[in-house]
Amino acid sequence: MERFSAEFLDGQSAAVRPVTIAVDLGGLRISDAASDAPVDLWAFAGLEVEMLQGGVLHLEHPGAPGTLITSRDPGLESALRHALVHVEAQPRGRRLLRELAFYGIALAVAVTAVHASLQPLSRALARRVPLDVEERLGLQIEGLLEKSFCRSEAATAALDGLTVRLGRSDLDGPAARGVTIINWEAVNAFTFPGGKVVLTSGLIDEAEGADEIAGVLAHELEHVRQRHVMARIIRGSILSLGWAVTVGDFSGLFVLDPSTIFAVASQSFSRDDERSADRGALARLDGARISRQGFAAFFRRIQKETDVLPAWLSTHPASEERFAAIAVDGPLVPRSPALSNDEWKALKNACAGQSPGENADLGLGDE
Amino acid sequence: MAFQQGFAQAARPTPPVSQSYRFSYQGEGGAFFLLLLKNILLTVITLGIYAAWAKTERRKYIWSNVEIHGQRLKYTGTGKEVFIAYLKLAGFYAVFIGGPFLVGKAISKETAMLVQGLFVLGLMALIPFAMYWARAYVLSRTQWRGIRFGLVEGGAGQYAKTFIGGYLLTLLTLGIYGPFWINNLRRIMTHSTRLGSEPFQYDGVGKDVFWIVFRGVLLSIVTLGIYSFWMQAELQRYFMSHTAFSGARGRSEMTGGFLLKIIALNLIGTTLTLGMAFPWITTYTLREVLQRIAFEGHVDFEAITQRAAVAGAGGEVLADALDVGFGV
Repeated sequence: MERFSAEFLDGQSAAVRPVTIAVDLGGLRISDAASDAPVDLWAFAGLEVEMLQGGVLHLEHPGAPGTLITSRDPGLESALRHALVHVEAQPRGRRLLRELAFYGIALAVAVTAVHASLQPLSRALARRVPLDVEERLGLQIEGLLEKSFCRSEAATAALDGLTVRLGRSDLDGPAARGVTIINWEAVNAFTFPGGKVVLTSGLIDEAEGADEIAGVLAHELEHVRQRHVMARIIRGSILSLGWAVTVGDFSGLFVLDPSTIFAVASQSFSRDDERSADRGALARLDGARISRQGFAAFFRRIQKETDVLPAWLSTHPASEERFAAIAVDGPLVPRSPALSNDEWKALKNACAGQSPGENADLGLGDE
Repeated sequence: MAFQQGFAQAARPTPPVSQSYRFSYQGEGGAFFLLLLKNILLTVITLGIYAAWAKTERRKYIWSNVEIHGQRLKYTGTGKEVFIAYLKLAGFYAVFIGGPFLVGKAISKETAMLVQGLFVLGLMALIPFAMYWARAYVLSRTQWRGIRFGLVEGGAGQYAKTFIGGYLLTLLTLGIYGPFWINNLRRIMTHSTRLGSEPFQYDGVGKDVFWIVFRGVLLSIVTLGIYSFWMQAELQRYFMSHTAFSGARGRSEMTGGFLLKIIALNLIGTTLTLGMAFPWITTYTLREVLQRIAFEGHVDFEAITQRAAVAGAGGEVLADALDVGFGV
């Protein structure tokens, strides 16, 4: 009977005992290589055999716990396979390519499915978060910025009237109580968690008419109604947790900062939110009988600043796409200015006498 | 007389034969890539639950391809024990976040902030313990020649004391104490490490490490950072040459040029392939690094006996959460 060379490790000491193995009908006969004295007999039942890369066989048996046999004898693997013993081995050649293709495609399908379900899932979860819980998150940010808020009663009253006209009655929380102006030069509008809507003084300075402000405001009110800020927080948490769990261990191997990859991946959701808020804003403008043209004109003016990045990197859809969506005024109904001349003047002077504060990137839902 | 000489020769013990115990890595990039692909897929479709098993499978693969003196390493950890540790960590997080919140509700916001502050301090103090426990877990699940590695039980306290004390002293001395601190930590960790019944030894001296770092920092400034690779290589060679096991002493052939080449390859290779090449680059790196390490001398393997495994996976999971984990 053919014998194969191997090394026997008893799990009690680190000494390696050279042995020979004979594969017969009953199992493996293990004998001392020098004296030929029997060392052990391993039955095929329960035998675990693994072929490691580099041509090393590892054999273990539940009847000899802690014991390990290693062998580099290529004949042993053939003899074991001939005896119908299963030999676990890493795939190579065509089998490796087949498995790579299978798992690659399956992973692409799984990632696409997760990506597709993330938007509806985050929106559904956001709707289930009580507004007061979300508002508490917003209050922490609000506390940091309160000093920069502009306190003009006339401007507040003007914005109050405008938001009522834009249908704020369908909202709860801070958005239903009014809009805040912050003394920042940046042209922006955003919503705090919980729904507080904030316009920057830079945005009001940039606007050439109240209709433009009405468009931006209607857009922000839609962010509030559709709970986009909370949905974004939930999505961010799910994505960052998912990233950490699946590839977090290898983050250091990516030259491109993983948070950047993650941010690019999440921008498409943000663009969906913006499109949806645009659609809702148009309905609000039509309902309030305010022309859509101001909304469109505003985007046209700020196009240079917003279209710096390619669309796939931006949080917002490209301006051209937004113009096309806004198109012309909807149903033919008489339109009236969003604010009276006096109200518009009050809004323009909302922060008069206050020096602009430091702008901060809050990463909130903006215009 | 002739009889006496013959007797003396027969009685004199044979001097142990000095050997080179070399390391090598036998893994292949394609198989490693397939494993990572499988791991990511299963982690995605199980909504993260498989992550514990993925980590274990990855280690099993890498360990089984590390060969030392003709015998492979074996990783015996299980995904189940890591998963249970993750669940415990989730409970720990719940207390960490929920505790101050409940205190805030029941007592006052100020008390809640105090409790939160104490929790954060406690968490920072846990960092060195977690580092030690993580290493203890991984070593206790690593076998070579059928014998488990391990860390000395109860050594975490001494390690943490040296870690925290040395950290503060390094801050106070504006970094001057740093090399002494690193050397002390290495000594404690190496002395605590054992293969079965046999401990490792470390006889590096803080003063030597200080001069390597001092010279290295000065030359790095002059060479705009380029010399830092040579400093790192010199440190690695120093640490290895002062590490001993049984009758053998470590040796590293690491050079600054080699380190520079490996880091450049990692940077350029991953950039050009957006990270897709990392299984092949990792394989190449492991192969090149391990073949530059060896132990020289004589190890009496007969005298090394098995010892029980004691460490749990909790420390390793905590270390990962604190970002001070084992890194593989």
